[in-house]
Amino acid sequence: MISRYYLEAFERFYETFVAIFSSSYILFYLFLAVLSYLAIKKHLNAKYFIHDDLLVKSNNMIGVSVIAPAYNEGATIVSNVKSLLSLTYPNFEVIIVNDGSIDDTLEKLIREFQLVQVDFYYKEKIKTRKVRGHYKSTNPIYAKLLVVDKENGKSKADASNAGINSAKHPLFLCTDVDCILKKDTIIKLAKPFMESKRKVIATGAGIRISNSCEVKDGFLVKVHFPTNWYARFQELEYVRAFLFGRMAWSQINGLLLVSGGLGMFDKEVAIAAGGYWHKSLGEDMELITRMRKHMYDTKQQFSIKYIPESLCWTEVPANAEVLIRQRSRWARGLVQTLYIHRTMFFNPKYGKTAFLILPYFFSFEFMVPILELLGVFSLLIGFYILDIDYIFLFYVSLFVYLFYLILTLVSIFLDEILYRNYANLKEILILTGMAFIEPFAYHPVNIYASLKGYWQFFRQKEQKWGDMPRLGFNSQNKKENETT
Amino acid sequence: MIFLIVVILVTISDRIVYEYSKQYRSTIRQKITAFLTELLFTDAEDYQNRIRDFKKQIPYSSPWCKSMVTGCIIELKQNIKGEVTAPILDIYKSFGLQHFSEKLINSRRWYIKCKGIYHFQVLEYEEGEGLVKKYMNHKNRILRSNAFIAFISLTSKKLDFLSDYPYEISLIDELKVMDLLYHKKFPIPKNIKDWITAQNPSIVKLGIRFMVYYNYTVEKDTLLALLASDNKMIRKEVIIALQELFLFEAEPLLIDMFTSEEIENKIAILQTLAVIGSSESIAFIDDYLHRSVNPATKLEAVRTLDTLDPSYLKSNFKEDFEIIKIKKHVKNPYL
Repeated sequence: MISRYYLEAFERFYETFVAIFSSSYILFYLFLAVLSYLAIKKHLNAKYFIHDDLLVKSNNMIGVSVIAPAYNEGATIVSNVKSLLSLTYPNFEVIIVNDGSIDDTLEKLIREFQLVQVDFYYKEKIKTRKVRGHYKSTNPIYAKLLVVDKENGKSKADASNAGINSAKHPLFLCTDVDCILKKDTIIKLAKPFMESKRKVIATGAGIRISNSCEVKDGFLVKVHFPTNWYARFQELEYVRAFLFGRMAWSQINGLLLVSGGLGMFDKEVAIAAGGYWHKSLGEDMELITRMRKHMYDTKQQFSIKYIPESLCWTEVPANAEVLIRQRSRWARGLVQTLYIHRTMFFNPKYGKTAFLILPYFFSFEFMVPILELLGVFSLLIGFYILDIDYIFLFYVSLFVYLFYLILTLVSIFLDEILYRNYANLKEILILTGMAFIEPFAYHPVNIYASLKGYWQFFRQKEQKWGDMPRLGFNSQNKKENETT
Repeated sequence: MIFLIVVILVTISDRIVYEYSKQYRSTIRQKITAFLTELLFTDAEDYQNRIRDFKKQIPYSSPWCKSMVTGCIIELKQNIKGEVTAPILDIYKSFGLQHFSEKLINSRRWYIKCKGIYHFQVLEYEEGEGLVKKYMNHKNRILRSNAFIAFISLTSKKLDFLSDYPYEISLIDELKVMDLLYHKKFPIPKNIKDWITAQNPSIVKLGIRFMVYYNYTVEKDTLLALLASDNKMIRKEVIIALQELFLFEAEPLLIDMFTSEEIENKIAILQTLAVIGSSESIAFIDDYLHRSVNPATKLEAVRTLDTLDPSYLKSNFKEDFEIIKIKKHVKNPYL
């Protein structure tokens, strides 16, 4: 009897808590939707502001170093580097950091680009594992290329830091070597640094999925809708995250995350903030948090901007195993960043980062998987021990489901009217259909991965590079990928 | 639930309409492009008649069609070079599209105004100068900036009036103005001194760039005085200008101010000293290299020394491991 009394009390408390939590979650998302709409409108309205053809010709553009760490990328490294070298910008260099690959990545680079080791004056502004050497091409065609060879640091962060230390330009663009960037990516990301009155410390843009795209020698030939189920769900996720989340945060200068796959940074600020933290599993989010902290500490006004355009295509996990591994790593990164920067929470010195952004990430990003798990337990207890008002449960569940659906479908609609990324109506209908089943078929996998990540964080399991088997883009591999 | 259904239906119907109109518009677009290319090689006297006939073949009265024709004319202008571009403005006017652009400029929405201004600017419709000018003081920053650049691009007047321009000009706009300067070959403003002593730092910077472009050294004393400006971007602009203008008398001033400058300007000073420096600079850099700790300025200092006197660099710093490493970097032909 007593245990039943306590269970009922717990259920009542949990119901009230979830009701308040869900209401605030929904209200917050509505707020984000409005902000996102305003941000996208602002961007589109300003499209006649500056024309890139002029900027491409100018000798006075701020220099940009494109940094791409590579670990065992021998299969695709040559075409990927050629793709990066072909970007359109008047003043840039490409820095490939070979992070102690155990395959033939470095040998292929040396052979293909006619590299020789050079006496590079290297200063370790950010501490990294030992840099073994720098390589430059003897062929003037590849004069923009610099290869940094270093010992493996077990993290992308360590490799990126070696790239930052070797960069000669004041801005750097961090990407993954297998990412395919649009030709005008550098211009699009660098423009806010030159337009804005307030000091811009970082910029980012939309990322799309390349799994089914036609790619030749590192260049995107044709964009195709993913045929693999996991990739399709991620397409849905990316559309929602970039159009709804990031644009909204950008509108109120509240971005805490610029993707590791594509982000441009002010080098001076990044170095002053200490660069990427090599032990972090969410190094992109962690760096932005630290850069924000640095700007507040030094009392400088700043902004972080997001561009609502897809500039980068990346391969995403095509099966549950790899997806869970990737998402666990992201979840560990999230909890790690929140834990490390816990002193910033509600500290007046850090303004909206302290009172809005970090609390949001804690409450709505970190807590949701835990609350969902508790919800499952609560339901099980209710089913077996207590009396449940099934009608009420049905209506509440339906409301939450419909709210989520509206959010996702509005994202698809916005994406469609703004960019027309999809080839035909069939693809839109498939994506819409995916939205209906996502909460049952895909969301639980994500929740499981997040909880696993939290568990690994609290157990302090050792980190390593996020290995994702690259299936490449040749047709044979692609077919295998899609049927996985 | 109703909202959900509405969103789905709107998305689907929007796509169906888009698919249908895409095909239709693509056909119209092809017609327009073919007609414009043909027109380009026709006698200008026939423009009116041919355009009148052509307008009947497309839904010209629709704003989207006018917008498409304007877009095609702009595309044509951007894709071809040389004398053959000369009739493009006549074609634009023969279609009467300047009225369409005017209508856009007179719209209530600022971003539509920007589109009209853009048409005038790209197609070099100089008669539109007056209409554009009134937006140079608009409260919207983007519209103001567009009007500013478009006006400079369209005007045939001297730019002297700009010395009083009160608004900040972004780095991107500076690039645009300089690009226009190179293309339109504006004469140097007679009141260039007013420019480089203006209250607006953006105008000062543009004035300095004008001086460099025209190799104008009459106001060199005013320029040198700007080395004491409170604005570090102005100081940097002057330092770079001194190098371009070969003002050797600036050497002691640059050496004096070096210590108090931030890294970015220190590097600019070292780069300028590499061009205008003498034995005084060599002695200064020698001394600096014994004290400096910043890798970026150290690297630049060694590079400057190497430019000024390679033999001095070769025969000195033989014990300094750090400088030896920098020397190797500087001497490497691939770096």
